Amino acid sequence: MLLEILRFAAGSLFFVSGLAIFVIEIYGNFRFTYVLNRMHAASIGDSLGIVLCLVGLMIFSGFTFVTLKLAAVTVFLWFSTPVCSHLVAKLETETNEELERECKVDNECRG
Amino acid sequence: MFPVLFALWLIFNGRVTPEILIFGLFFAGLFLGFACRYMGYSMEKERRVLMLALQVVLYVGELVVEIWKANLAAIPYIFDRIRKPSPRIIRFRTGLRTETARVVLANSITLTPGTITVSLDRDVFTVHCLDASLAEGIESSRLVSRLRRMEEVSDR
Repeated sequence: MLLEILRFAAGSLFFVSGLAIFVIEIYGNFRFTYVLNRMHAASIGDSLGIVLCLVGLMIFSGFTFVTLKLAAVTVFLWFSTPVCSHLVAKLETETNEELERECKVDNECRG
Repeated sequence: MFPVLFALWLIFNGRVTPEILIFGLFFAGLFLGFACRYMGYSMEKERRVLMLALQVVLYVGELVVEIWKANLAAIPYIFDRIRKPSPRIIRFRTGLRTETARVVLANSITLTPGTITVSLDRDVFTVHCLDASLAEGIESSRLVSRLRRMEEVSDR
C-alpha cells in the first residue's frame, strides 16, 4: 500500500513538472516575437517537458511493456524533433533578408 | 542493428511467446539482410556498431545531462525580467572526421534548448543561440570529446 502511494506520488511529481515546463514553453512562445527565438522556447517543451510527462506515465505503469513503448516514444521524439527544428531554422535564415536586425551574425569561424 | 530490431519487435508485440521470439528472429534477420543488400549496410558495420554500444550508452547519458543543464539555463531567458536574451548566430569547427558524428552532434545541439543547428557545411556548424552564454565552449564540449572517442573506437 505504502509502495503504491510512493509510486503515485513520484509519477504525479514528474507529470506535474512536465506540465509546468509546458506552461513555461507556451508563455515563451507568446512572449518572443521572432520565429527562431520562439523555437528555443518550443524546444524546452519538446526536450524536457514531454520526457518528464512520459517518465511520470512510465512510473504509473510500472515494469510493463507499456513502459518500454513509452521509452521508445521518447527515443523516436528525440530523433525526429531536431530534424524538424533544423528545417524550419534553415528556411528562416536562408529566406530572411533582414536577419541581422533580429540577431547578431558572427561571420568568423571558431575552432 | 539486429538487437535493436529484435528489441523493437518484442516491445511492439507487448508479450513474449515462443512464436513471437522465432518470428522476431526471422524478421530482424530479414530486415538486416534487406539493409545489407539494398541500403549499403554490412556485417562489418554491424560489428563496429556492437563495439560502439557502450560508448553510445555513455553518450546518451551525457546528452541527457546536457539537456537538463541547458533547460535550466534557457528557462530564465523566457522571463525577460530575470535575464534578457541577446540572440546570435555563431560558426565553429569541431574537427570531427566522420559525417555520422557531425550529424549526431548537430542533432544533439538542436535538441538542447537555447541552441539550434541552422546548417552543417562539411565541418562548419552554424548555430543560432538564444544568448551567447548558452553556446560558450560549444566547439569543445563534452559531447564533442565523447564523439571523438567514438570515432577512435570505430577506427580500430
